[in-house]
Amino acid sequence: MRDTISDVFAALGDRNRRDIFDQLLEDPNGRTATELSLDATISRQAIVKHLQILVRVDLASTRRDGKEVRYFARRDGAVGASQWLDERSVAWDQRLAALDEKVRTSSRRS
Amino acid sequence: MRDILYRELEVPCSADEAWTHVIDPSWLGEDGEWDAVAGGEGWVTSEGDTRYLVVEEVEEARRFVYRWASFSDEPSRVEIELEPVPTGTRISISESPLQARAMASLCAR
Repeated sequence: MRDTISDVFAALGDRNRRDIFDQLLEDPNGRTATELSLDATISRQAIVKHLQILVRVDLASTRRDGKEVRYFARRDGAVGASQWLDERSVAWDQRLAALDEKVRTSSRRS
Repeated sequence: MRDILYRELEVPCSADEAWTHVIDPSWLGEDGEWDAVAGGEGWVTSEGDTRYLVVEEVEEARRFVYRWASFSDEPSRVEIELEPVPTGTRISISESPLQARAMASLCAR
């Protein structure tokens, strides 16, 4: 079974891919690899590879635009990962509050 | 992405004292126990769910790492680090999905 959440985290673990994903999110008309490469510090070829990974983990979709491929952000692709983070964030806040109370209670006794 | 979820807590005691609390798993849920040595196993219950865990690393008063999972949730890895600070001890926690793949495997598909 494919582990979607891990794939999304792995894909977004790279700063270049996060930057590309951010740019796709900003533009409802999508971007081509050429457009993304205009102000980029990495090559168009590298951008294409990053885009392919975003597509593979469902963070981006594609549509042919003449000779080029236009890439669009898929916001729904990050929902599972976002929920994973939200649930654990709440749980860790509760656990750390319990640990804090435990330590402080012990310190008051000693 | 090494640390997907990160939290910090500062407590007003030494790292040695904080360590004694950290390795008592009661703060992780309603009940639980573990063998706090590398390779040790344990469990924690919280809100009706039981997580089973395996301890990966133990560096007394400095670092505690374990993997855990339940039948209803995917496995993850938790790193707990203690660091002395002027007011006591900073406890930092990071958790990430255990199955987060190396990008090489994503690229190869």
